[in-house]
Amino acid sequence: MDAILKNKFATLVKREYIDHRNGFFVVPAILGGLMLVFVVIAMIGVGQLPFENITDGQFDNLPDLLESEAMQAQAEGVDLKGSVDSIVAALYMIMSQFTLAALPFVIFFSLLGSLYEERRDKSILFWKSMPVSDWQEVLSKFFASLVLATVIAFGVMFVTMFAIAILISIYALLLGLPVSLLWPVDAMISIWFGLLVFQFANLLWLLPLWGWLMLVSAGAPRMPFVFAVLPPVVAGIVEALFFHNTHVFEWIGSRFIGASQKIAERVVGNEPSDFAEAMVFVREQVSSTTALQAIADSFADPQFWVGAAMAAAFLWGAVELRKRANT
Amino acid sequence: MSDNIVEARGLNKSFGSFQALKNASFTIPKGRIMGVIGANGAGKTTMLNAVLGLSSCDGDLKVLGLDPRKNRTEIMEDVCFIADVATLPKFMKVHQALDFVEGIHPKFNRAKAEEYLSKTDVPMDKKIRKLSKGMTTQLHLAIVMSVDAKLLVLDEPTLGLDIIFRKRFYSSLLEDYFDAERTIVVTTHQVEEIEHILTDVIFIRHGEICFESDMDALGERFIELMVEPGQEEAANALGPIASSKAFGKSTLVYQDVSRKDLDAMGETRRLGLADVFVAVMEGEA
Repeated sequence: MDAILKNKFATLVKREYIDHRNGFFVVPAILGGLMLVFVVIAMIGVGQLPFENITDGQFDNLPDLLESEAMQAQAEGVDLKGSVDSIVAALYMIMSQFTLAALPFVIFFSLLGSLYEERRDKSILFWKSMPVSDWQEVLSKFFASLVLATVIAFGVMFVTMFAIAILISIYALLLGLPVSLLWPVDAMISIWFGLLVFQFANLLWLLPLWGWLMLVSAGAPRMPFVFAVLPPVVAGIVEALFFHNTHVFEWIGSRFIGASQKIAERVVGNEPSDFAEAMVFVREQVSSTTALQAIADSFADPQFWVGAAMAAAFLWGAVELRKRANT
Repeated sequence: MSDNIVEARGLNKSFGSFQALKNASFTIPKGRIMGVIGANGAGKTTMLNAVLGLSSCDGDLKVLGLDPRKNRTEIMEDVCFIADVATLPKFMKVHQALDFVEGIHPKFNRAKAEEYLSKTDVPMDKKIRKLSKGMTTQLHLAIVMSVDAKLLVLDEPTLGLDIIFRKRFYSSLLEDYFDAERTIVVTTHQVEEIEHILTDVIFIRHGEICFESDMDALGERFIELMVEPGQEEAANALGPIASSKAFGKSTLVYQDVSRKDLDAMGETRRLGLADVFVAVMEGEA
């Protein structure tokens, strides 16, 4: 029975992938490909790397930056490798992060359409002719849009990150620079993994939003986007106009920054003063144990569980609406 | 469990002030092919939706011994249906749709479906969106015929298809699928095409079941009489439910009148299902 259930769920999630292949995979792959093209153009066309001049012209390009960092580290007697690793890995991360640019939109719109499109094109009658409960349907769509889409986009980011490293290594080889500095594999993986954890933390803090989108998707007679966006906006405006408060907007905003805020409270001790330090800080922010601990602690906040309970209620509503839907 | 696949007593369903089902009661025994005949908006689809657990309704309803309003998922292991609109997921390729059903349905036989499809022009590697209407129906039929179900519900399955295809649809249903263990419920406007495969028939009007019969009895119960000149008075005295005149002769339709009595007054013949439907509907209107 368990095996059948697992197989069913896998089949349902696979269906979602087939339906949303463009958003889940093709779009991040194109963004990753574009980033690689930018890197190549920057190297061949301009002869310099794309992240030159990021720091008010302190450094013109990567070799200068690495050299300066190495000298500074030597002078201060600190471990050169760790600092340079962080800088290089953070740069790779920032560049390859481009692959994630569409992810929030993909999640938003795939959830919003998940229970609406099947009613619009009547395929719900086919899904309902199968021995699959409405709970399984709703949860498989929820899972696919949140977890599957995220994991695939991060998979593409991972590949892009290493592809960028390869391109830059070729460039460095041509310039006769030491390639070993360009392969901080441990730092690359840990920064990528830290970002993934951070992403899931944010997704979890936003659970009420995702649940709300599914509820609207299950119920909206048409234009689900309007039905999703209008109620909270109107509620916020009414509150502002008549009660001169902004609780609604503040509460919604708190969902978006739930995890980040906790990290910021813990990690932001010293403002980064230059580019290299900023890069180290980026890595700190997403992959240090302090950050991971802060994320874990954020889930102890009762506000998080209020949101989770709301999401559960919204999903329950979506299931009940789907039970009654027949076109 | 009784041998009745569907047992419904006093089903009611309203949409606002419109009552789509009025106290509908019917049973569908195992091994039958039941036709549900009615005009547009008579409540056929509402009735089938109730049986399939697709919409709520009031009243006693058991499908395979379970309540479709509570146990749709369980019931769907033994029930297949084709709705009156194209419902197959357009974004899938044909083989992906088969993968899906194979992964979901414990009683689906993929080899069987592929065998059916190999006899058609349906390409495995095309998206369902690109298939013609006929091909989409063939695919859907191949899927439902490959599920070892106890009840198959077809709501206008051949709507908008050409006549050759419609004939083939019903003949493969009868030859390759139907047996004593299976039960089929079918609605259609093309009454003549399903007449010969039905074992039972229900007429539905304004949400009410106004007539039900098995097809063998139907031939006995409804008789058309071409009245010989001079017999008109006697013929009218027997209470025809419909009458018409052609070529100077009256043609009368009788319900539940002895054939022997009618034979004496002229030429008799059994009535086709479509004519019975018209006669009953007009007779009661």
